[in-house]
Amino acid sequence: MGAKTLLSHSLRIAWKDLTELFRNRLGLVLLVLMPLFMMVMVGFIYPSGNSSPTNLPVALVNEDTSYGVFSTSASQTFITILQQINGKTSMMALTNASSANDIKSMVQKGDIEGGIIIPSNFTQSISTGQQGTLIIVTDQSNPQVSATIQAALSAVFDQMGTMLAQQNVQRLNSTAANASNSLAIVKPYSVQTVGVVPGTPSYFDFIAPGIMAMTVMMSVMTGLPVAISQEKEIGTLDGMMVAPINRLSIILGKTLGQTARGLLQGTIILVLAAVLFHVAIQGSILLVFGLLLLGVFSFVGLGIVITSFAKDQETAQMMMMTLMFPMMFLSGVFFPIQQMPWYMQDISKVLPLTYASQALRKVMVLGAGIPDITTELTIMIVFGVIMTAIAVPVFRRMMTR
Amino acid sequence: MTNPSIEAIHLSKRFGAFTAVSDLNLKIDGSKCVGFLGPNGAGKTTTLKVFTDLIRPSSGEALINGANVHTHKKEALASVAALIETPEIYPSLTPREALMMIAEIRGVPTAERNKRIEEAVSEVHMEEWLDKRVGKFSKGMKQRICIASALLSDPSILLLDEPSNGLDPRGMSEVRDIVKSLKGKNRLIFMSSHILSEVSEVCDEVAMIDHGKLIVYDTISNVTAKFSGGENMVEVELQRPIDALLVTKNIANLPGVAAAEQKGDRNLKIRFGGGLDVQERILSDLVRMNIGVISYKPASSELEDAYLKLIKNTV
Repeated sequence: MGAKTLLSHSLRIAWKDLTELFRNRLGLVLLVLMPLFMMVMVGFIYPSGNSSPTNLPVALVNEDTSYGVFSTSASQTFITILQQINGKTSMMALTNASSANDIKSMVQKGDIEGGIIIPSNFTQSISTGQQGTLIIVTDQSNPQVSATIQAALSAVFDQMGTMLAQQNVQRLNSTAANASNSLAIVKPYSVQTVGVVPGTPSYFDFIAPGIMAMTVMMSVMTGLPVAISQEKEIGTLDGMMVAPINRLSIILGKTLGQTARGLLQGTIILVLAAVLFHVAIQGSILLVFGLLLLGVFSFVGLGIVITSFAKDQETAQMMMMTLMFPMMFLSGVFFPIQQMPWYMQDISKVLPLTYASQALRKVMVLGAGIPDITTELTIMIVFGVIMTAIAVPVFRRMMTR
Repeated sequence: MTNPSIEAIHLSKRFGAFTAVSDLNLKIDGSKCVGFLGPNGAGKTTTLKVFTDLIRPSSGEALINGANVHTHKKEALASVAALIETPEIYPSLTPREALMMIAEIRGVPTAERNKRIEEAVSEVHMEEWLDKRVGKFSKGMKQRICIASALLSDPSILLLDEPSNGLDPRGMSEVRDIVKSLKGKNRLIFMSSHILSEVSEVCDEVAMIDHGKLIVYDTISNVTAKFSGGENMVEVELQRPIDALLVTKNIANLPGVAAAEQKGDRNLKIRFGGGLDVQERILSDLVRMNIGVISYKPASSELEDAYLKLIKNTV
């Protein structure tokens, strides 16, 4: 019984598993639907990089009463320009409110998501050479939307402020008579953002590699225990176990079958990402698949350990869920690791999915080659070797109770 | 070719505080069929699982053809085929596909696989279902395919765990016939069951186990003779109703007869001391009495009597 027998036995088992998979119509449909739903969900729900919010319901209160003594009302000018800008971007759906309290009750009712208050001394401040203050009212029950409104309004006010400053400079200084020079005085620095690869990647470019890595690895980590405990439950596993077969063949065969399934799903995700969401793959596609395979290897050990301890499908499912959730959120698949507090970052550093999705992201988004991802590769290989070394004896022991 | 053999040496298996098998010593060798009897939970399945390395013994050893099942699994199981508990076949595959996989992992040479599969399937009379998916099969059909899978590698030892369990009467009798047809050919069949008539019909020897302990291992005739008070019993069926007086006076007083009992108006049970010559003489005496004997056979419930006595004794 050499390596050849071991391999041919496991290939036969993998073939059997795949035959079963392809005969299960509903299973096949779900195999395609699951990644599709996941992609559509994250692809459309999360804002992509260059799209800005539109038609946010915002109320405006003008409490400025101080213009009586001045020739022009600064607040009226402000509102006119604001409406001009909004007319172009249609960022806000502006309504008028009578007072700050009115805004409060409108937010509470859910009619608006934010408000702008022009205080009573607005014209007076500006006309006497002081800063005019604008108040943005936010809906604290929805931090994400209020942050968006805050950012958007600040940008608009900033733009309007710059325009006003430019006019002032032109009035004061004849050498800055043309527009670009006056802009240089008001804003000496202009910022230009350039990525290392052409194009402007969206949030989706960030998330697609992570989802691919996750799906493929979950296939061995969760698919393996479920596949084996299912055979245990219906009683087909004993049929194999009572044969003079190396138990490694069983686990290897199952792993091969699940890996093929995972890679198939990964490919579906890749195709969907490219077709539906225009994710461009900058690096080598072979390297992408190589990384996915390595990712599978780094997870097999963990999958085998779960397999060894799971008595039945339900236990396997529960163990898988327990491990999957922290893994999903801590490995930087959906959210950048850098956003997390340091202790969470430390946890994410011991999860192999972190490195797999990181490496995959580098290759897919940044077009990195093997030399650029040696750290990730090393960690994944080391993790895989250690886990497999632990898992195989555990499996051998647990399979004979 | 050496005799196939299985042997348990001081074999024990404990699950926590529960002892499933307790110091079992049993050696069976030669080409024969041995029934493994015991009530539910007696340790039959556990013993068979130890013999197939599905579970580890807590102490002691299980040997097949002299090889320790746990430490030398491949050597020990090479000539063994086993059906443990309720084996299943992959529902989305056809028998041919499922058996192909089993044939490969059992080491049947590539060139012979198709031929062996067809032979095994015809032994269980399932030829016409060979390329249909298992999902639609009845329990009995699946069980027959399982038996076919056990036959693929032409094993010299067959371990069967309640092979007719869960089948309808027809399925049970079919499986029984298949097992009978598998006897011979230098093959040792070790079959657990709690159906006594099945064992007495199919098997040559019987091992009884209760509370994990071996109670008896002997030929069926010895066991029944020993535990039915040294007496044998025959069942007689008559064509005509018989007078009760005739039974209690004439038949009960025939030479060798210990007791005669009427069961319904056309059936008799006769106990007698002695061997086959006594049995023969009683038959000719009955025929001479012209009472319309249409059948005369050893009672199938003999084994049941012995079983009930033995199992009751241990409680």
